[in-house]
Amino acid sequence: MGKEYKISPYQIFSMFFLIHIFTALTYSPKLSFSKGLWDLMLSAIISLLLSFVLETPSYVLYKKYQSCNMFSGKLGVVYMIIYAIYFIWVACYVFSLMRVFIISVMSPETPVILLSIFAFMGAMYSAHKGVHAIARTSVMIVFFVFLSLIFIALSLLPKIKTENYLPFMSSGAEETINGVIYMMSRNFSLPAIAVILPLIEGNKKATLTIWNVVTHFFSLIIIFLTVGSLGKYLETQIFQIYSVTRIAEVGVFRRLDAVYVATLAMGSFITFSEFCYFFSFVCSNIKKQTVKEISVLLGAIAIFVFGLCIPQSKEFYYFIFNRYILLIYNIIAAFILPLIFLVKKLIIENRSKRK
Amino acid sequence: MKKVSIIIISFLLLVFISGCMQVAQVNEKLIIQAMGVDLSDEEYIITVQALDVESAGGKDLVAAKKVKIFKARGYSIQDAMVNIKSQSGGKPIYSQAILLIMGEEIAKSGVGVFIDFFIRNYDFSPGVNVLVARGKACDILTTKIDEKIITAEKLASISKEGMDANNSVNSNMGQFIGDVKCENRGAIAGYIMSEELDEKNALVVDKIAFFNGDKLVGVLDPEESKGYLFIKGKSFGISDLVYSPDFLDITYTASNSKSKIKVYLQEDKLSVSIDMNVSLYVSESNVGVNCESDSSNIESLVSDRIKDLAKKAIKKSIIDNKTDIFGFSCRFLKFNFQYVKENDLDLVEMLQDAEYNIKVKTKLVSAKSY
Repeated sequence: MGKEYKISPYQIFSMFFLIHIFTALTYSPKLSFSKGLWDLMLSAIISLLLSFVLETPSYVLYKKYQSCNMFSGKLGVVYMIIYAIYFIWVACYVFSLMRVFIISVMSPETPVILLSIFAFMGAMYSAHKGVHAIARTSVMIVFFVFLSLIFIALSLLPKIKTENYLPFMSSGAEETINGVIYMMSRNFSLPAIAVILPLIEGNKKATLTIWNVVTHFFSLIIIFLTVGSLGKYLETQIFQIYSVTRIAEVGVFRRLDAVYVATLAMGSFITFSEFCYFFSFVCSNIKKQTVKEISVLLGAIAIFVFGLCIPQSKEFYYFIFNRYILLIYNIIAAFILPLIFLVKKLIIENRSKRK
Repeated sequence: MKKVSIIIISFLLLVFISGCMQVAQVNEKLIIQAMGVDLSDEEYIITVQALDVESAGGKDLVAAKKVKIFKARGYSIQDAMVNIKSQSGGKPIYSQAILLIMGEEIAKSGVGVFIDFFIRNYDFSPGVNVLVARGKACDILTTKIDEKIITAEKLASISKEGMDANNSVNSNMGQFIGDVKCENRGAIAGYIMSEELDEKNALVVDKIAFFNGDKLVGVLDPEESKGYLFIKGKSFGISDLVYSPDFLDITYTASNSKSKIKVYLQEDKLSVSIDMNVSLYVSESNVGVNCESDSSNIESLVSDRIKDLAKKAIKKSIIDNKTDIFGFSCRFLKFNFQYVKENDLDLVEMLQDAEYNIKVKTKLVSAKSY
């Protein structure tokens, strides 16, 4: 592993919280294949429990073998490739989803290519600065994001109509299942946890538990407010959370969608930077300096090119946003790979004990 | 070197990202404030009230917003909007729109066909107020009082104040479309009409138009509208008159009201119990009425009156027009979903034969406390 910086529990919470907020705010039925949003309340609860399950191998691994490195040895190269591709994938996902959001619902006139270039340059710079820079920025941004979300939530409270809440699973369990698949496929933090858990100082268990509970609790609140405010209208919208912020108002403060856009922009920028960093973090384990440098450069080019191309190509779009592929990849990166490594470590340990 | 590159990047950001490229000047834009949709000879007629940014400026703009009216036909809303664009020479901007008015005819023939335009248009906010016009929407948008066109802001304000500042009738686009798409609930919208008072035009919104699916099926008169608001428990500021030949005529104002609704099955028949708690004060009365000594009589009179108003509202929407605008079906569905599904029940039909137990508790509060 490269240089080891330690990040505090609050910093790691902020980093992962922003990733979760980005995925929660960009919820779209086009991606989840669920018509409504209400059944996703159940999905969020199931997703919370599943997240704990998926985190377990990484947690146990780093608890037992604090200084272990998943990317050492021959198996480590395979791990490196899998994680590097995953992080490039997610970075492209975030980059292109933001572009889709701007083009389709926010303002099609925005010069997205220029915006993308500058966002990309900024993200690359923060990734280059390292995890401390990203972590510190995340802490600051989380503060503003919290304020914005509380402000939007309070402004939506008077708009809630109880008639908009229908019974759970009124059209069967399909929506809930789709929701779980969607949420788990977009839980991008889990594979990241598997990689950067050794960097966390302090109580890892408490940090992960609090992060998991708080982020899912936020999802529940967002769903509750959104459904209560706009009911069936949401079924007609591509980005439902954005739609609901357009009716939010408190006194003289109107058009709170601007607050949403700011929150999303901050969240997406940090999420994008984080995955660029995770990618370079994985690449930093390459021993040969020239290969290391080339891999980071290639990764950056791949993120930029794919990120720009995805919204343009339907086939590519369907592939990269495919929830099943992402779910499988997520389970492999977050659960199976750390589990295999843990089993391998345990076997080696048992063998050495026998000797 | 670092500083220089930061300055260069910041400059580039300022120039390119701030949206200064391909930007249209304000006079090249058609800033829409209100839209009216009518149907005539199977063609849509769109009336647009847009800000007149050219003639208004400086003090003038602050003192009174000036608006321009554009009207065009088309086989679809988009088609008509293209015609408006060519008339005005401005690019339509919908993000500032605050009002959508539908003509009575198009509302009756079904809004489902054209409403899609407003769903898909990224610029159109779900917070836009929706109204139904008696007659044509274009007549409302072109109504003049003292030779001045009534602006969209004024119209929106009339629609809010018209129903005694009550929020429950201010149907916004999001809620309206949601209710149109909901199988068990009827959508509502304020009903705006032009009236002549002392040879002067006046716009009034004291009625509620209600929809079954996407079609306008009826209009609650002012009394029924008050009944609706009392049932919904949102009747802050409603004023009403109680006639009593034996006692007195009183104008009361509801200062606070709450309602508890329960919908349940009783021997295979739906029962709806509505418990209302209304605080009121007497705003006008015949000379000689003593609010303190006659309070129980006044309370009982007003209770009967509110009960009567609620019954009228239920009769008009549910019994006569088979439309549940109160959300009774949704309340029942919440706790009996499986039962309804298994027995394939038509809840609105059941509501037509339901038993309604309306209890009204009124409390007279002094004008001071109000």
